[in-house]
Amino acid sequence: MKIHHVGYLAKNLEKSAAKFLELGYEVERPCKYDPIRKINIEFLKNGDYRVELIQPMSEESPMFPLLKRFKNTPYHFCYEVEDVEIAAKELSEKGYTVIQEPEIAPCIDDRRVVFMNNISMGIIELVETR
Amino acid sequence: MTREEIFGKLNEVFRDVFEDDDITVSDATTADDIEDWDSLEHINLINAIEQEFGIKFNMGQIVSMKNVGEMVSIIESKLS
Repeated sequence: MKIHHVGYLAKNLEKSAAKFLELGYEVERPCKYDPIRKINIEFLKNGDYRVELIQPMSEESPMFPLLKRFKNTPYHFCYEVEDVEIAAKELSEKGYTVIQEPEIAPCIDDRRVVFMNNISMGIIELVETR
Repeated sequence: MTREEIFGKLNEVFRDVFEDDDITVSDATTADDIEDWDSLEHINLINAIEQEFGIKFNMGQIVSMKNVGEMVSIIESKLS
């Protein structure tokens, strides 16, 4: 599976972005609010590598407990798939659990994404290629 | 699998997930009784249980289980 991005939790997106830019990353998509997950998101690129900075904007955000525990840190890989329903079903049969049902991602052109977890892998995200 | 056998396997899963060999769960056990059982570990626990018993919970079941007794009843129904 091709990696689309690495998700990176940020307590303060602006401050974290500044540290990434110091290391040579460039802003690919400026900060935008995702009302479904109550998070701010900014995409950065460094060559072929894409980082998704995520700042939970409310304690109701599903990402808030992750930030609370892990602070500023990478926490998921996102993989490109043709169809999230089919891919989620296949991974479900390989021992993954859906933790957020398929839903559009406003910050990735409204493409559908799904979040899954496996105790030996941690959290992964799947995003549709179109 | 009897309810007792389910509890036996479930205890092993809980001990593994929470890295505590002293855990013994009962019908009344809730997240309040196990220090590290928060929303994040709940996700890992559910995944570990699914793999141990070869079952799948639905999203409604994952978020609505009130105690281990309810969890065992759901497992029991899926295995029958």
